[in-house]
Amino acid sequence: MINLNLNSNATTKSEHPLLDQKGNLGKRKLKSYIFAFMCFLATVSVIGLIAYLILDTYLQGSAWINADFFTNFASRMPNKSGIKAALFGTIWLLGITALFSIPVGVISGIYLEELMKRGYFHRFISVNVSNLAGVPSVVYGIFGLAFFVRMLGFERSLLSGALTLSLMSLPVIIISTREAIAAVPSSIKMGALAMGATKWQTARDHIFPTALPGILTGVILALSRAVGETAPLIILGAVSFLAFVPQGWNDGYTALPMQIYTWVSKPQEEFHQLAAATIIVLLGVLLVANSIAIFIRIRSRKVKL
Amino acid sequence: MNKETVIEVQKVGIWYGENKAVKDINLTIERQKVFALIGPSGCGKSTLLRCFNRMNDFVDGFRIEGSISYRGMNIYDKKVDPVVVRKCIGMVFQKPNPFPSSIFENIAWAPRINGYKGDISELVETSLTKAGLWKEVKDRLKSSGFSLSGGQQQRLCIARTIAMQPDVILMDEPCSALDPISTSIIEELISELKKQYSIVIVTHSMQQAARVSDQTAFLFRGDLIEMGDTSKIFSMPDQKLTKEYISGKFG
Repeated sequence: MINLNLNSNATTKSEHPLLDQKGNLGKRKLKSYIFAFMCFLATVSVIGLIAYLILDTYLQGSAWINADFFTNFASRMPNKSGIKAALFGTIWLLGITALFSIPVGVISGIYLEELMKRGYFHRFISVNVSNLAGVPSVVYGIFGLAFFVRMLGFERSLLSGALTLSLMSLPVIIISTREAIAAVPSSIKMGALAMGATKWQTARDHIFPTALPGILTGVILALSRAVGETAPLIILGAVSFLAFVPQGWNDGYTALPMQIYTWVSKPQEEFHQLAAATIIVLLGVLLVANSIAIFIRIRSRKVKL
Repeated sequence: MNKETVIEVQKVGIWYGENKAVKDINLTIERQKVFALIGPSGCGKSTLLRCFNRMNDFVDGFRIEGSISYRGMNIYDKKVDPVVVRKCIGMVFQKPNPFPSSIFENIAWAPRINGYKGDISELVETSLTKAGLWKEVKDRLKSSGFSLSGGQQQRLCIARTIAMQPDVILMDEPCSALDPISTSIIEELISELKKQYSIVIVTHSMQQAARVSDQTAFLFRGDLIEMGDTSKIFSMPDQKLTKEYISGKFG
């Protein structure tokens, strides 16, 4: 892919000025190629690594994925083990987390960016939201344990888990919502306001629809991260073996990453393969969730800017 | 011809933080006339225009002293809601800024949110007709506002402003992003519109001010240098500075 033409100085005959390649052109072009190659290398190494991980996981786990794998609960015997409880737990968690974090996060983002008066309090909140985005998930787990599980008495339920994951997702959703809104051209906003619209009408009919793709990207990112979290769930007391599917928000639960964690820590090779199979399912769940969001995003872009 | 005053500017000073952009200006804008604000960049003409419909309220550090009266009522009065001001005094911006929606929706939006009771489709048609755009777009009202050319987009923005049935239309260099042909179409439109609306136009082009306006005010570094009938300003201005500016010595 690298095509260097450094021999151009060899032509001694005086040629057409457009064909003159004397001077530092060769050197400049070389630098350009080196830069392009570095970029290529960086991209390929990342994609290659991910491809290798996925392939490796697939080779280990694909044999275990069948109907029984989805309909059985976890078991002492690898052959009878399945992920029914964990899969349903994850879907429940994802649902409740989305239910809490998306509206609260998006509305907070709109308020902070569009409506709130700029001042010390605004800056104080902005800085703290940014800081919260960098807090490790374990810390959210500890907070959730103290606040939701103990203080509010939600016990080790789906609700405690989902609320904790919601808190963890909020900063990312708020920040990306703010960024998406800030990226809406001010000409659209000013145009709407100059038409005698209130701030709410402007936000609802123009700012929000224009910012929607950006907001959804942030939501996808935040929820994907939440679904893959293990650490806070361990602290919150998600169960590692569960022989029932949660029926409501106050039931005990387990989740796919919990199941993976439990199986990986077992000595038997078969359980490791089960963990690999579970990883494939988890990736599948993420893929489905992302596809839905991308679908909404494309639909919302029907009118091109 | 009645000489009713529609906007009266009294001792208006405009501040952006510590910087005084407009210094104690007095102006009278008459009904159903075209009033042009001219002057070099940074003279405060756009700043002043944006005060007429309180668009400067969105600028941090903005402060105004003095009063701007619309039909005898100070628009900066505490009892006055800026949303209502903007409904009576519409605005067309420098760069065409249609909404990212269909041509129809671009026009129907403002009347709808303002609680218009009549037939919206009819209003869209009359507004587009008044803006001289109906014939060009009547077969594609559903397509995006962005599919139009720059000049058409600007006329769409004018149609959208007309649709809210304002009394005054403010235009902030409406032709500066347009080609000469689109510009002349818009200028013709302005002459047509003044039969029904009062128009205040900010322009960089002195020829444009001379062509379209009835009255002109020349601003320089935040001061009002001269104001009067356009024909007089451009033929025998009182001030030396005005003369130099219109003859192209600076600016």
